Amino acid sequence: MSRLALVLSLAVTGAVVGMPSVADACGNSVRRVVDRTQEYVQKAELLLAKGQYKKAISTVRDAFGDRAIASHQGGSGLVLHGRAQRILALAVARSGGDIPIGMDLGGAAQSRKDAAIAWAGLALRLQGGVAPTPAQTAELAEALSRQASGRAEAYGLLKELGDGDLIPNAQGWALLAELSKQRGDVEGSKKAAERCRQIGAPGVQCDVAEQA
Amino acid sequence: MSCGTGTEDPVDVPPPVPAAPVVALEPAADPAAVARGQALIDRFECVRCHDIPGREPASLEKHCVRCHQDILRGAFPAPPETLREWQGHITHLTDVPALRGLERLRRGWLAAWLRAPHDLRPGLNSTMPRLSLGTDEAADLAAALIPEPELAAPAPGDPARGRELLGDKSCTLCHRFTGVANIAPAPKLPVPLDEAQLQRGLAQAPDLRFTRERMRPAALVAWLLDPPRHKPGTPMPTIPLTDADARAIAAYISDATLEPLPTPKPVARLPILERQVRWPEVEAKVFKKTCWHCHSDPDYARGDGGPGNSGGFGFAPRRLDLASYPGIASGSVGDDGKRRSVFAPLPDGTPRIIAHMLARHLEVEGGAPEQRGMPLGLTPVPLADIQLVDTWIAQGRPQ
Repeated sequence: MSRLALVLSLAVTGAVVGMPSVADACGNSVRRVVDRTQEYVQKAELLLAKGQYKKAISTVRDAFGDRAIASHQGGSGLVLHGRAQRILALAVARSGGDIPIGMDLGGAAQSRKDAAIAWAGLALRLQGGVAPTPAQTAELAEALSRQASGRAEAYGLLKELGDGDLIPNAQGWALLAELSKQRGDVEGSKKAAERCRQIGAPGVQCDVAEQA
Repeated sequence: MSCGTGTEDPVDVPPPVPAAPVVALEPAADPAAVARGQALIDRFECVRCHDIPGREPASLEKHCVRCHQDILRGAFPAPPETLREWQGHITHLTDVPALRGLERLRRGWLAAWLRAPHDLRPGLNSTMPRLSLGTDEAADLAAALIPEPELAAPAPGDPARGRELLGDKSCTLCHRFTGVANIAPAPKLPVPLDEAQLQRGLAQAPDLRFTRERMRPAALVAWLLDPPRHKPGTPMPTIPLTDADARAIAAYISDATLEPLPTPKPVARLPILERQVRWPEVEAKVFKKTCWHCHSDPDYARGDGGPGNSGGFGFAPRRLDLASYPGIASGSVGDDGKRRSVFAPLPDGTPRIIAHMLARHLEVEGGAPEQRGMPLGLTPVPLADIQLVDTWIAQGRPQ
């Protein structure tokens, strides 16, 4: 699946370069162009944090269109592009790939869901590079855990972070609890669920692992 | 002709001049040390805070003072309402001394002070930060900043007269002189000063207690006679003094008996609170107040994330982001290049991040604790606010 995602990523890279963003649409008249891309990205990040994945994706697409799916093509805006791509990838991972993000990724069909999740994992892995932060690692683990073939790696990544008390949020602890339970590590699962509960993040289901 | 000195033959004999203490004069600095020190000025990014002759100041987004000065006078490129908000927040790093005329200072003192800086200028609410530099590096930096040899000391002056002059010339209006009996400044300044110069003088005036170890004796007398000649732009005005006056003031500053410094107060870690403390409270009261200026994520902030994230002032990049919950939970990069939790307990059980904040209190008290005090060179985080963070950590860092 990751090979498919790689192909998809490379394919869309060439296809979407140069598509206009909201800030570019100023017509031919002489007027001041105000780049509001950052506002869109910030808004989408808040929506993502609230679990409003459809709106988050829509907001990113308003500003970037399909460009957020492709690799950045150089020039300015590298950071904002990376943030936009992260939002899409996490929205895909957390929604299970249900929501279309463009370029035939995501939607009701299982193949589109699978392709979107594979793309999300690849995008997050590329963003982390060779020295990912714990936040990037935990987010990659979220995406990997959505694929049967990625769960072992997701567990390994989170276990290492958890052993160093470096899981950056309640979602990460909840996922570690779930993955630990699946591997038969009941004690580890309980500890991770307890850390999740201590953080007490609204909307995060810490007890999922114990029900799994 | 008589050479007697008896009462029957009074002769106006000047009092004997006490012999000056024999102190080895500092020679010119070793050129190799000067060269190494010049490279260290770059490495420690001294121009991010200080003006240094012959060197370009740091760019605005990296300058620890000019950015604040521009905001305060409304010249920083930001919307007016943002500027007004920021102006209400800025209390630190609005003025720092320029590194000009340093040949008046003792090279040996500067090297020792750079290693363990103490509060030299009580009117400033920030101090020289404790940088990550060894003894040799400190000596090389001092050599680069003070390459000149020391000149021979002048004849000593009259210390009693010097004490009078410190009051008469209103020196003690700006300068503290801890360790000696209070000297009241004269009600009228000996020279006119505009408000801005007076305010800068009040802020930058060093505590005279440290002058005897800090300044070269000959340079001290020369400085007193005409400070701007030695350091253009200094807020210290040229006060009309005779050579004897200057030597008298220098003698008192150098020889007055000093009360010992107060014993450093122990820094008490306050107990864990009973009530719950969540992230928004510690974020607002501690991390988003000061810490995130140097520890933020470059992808989510102006600039490079600050020296506490991407490195600077000679510090390696620690990749520490204190601007968000996931950021702080992601820890920092240790000397071994691996990520470590900032909440992990040190051998005495204190979480690392708490130890750094408590260390700043110890530094202000005159100590040089193993952990570097944070915030670096700034006013310590109040103990009650450290208690909040400590409680938040003990409760499992609820979000």
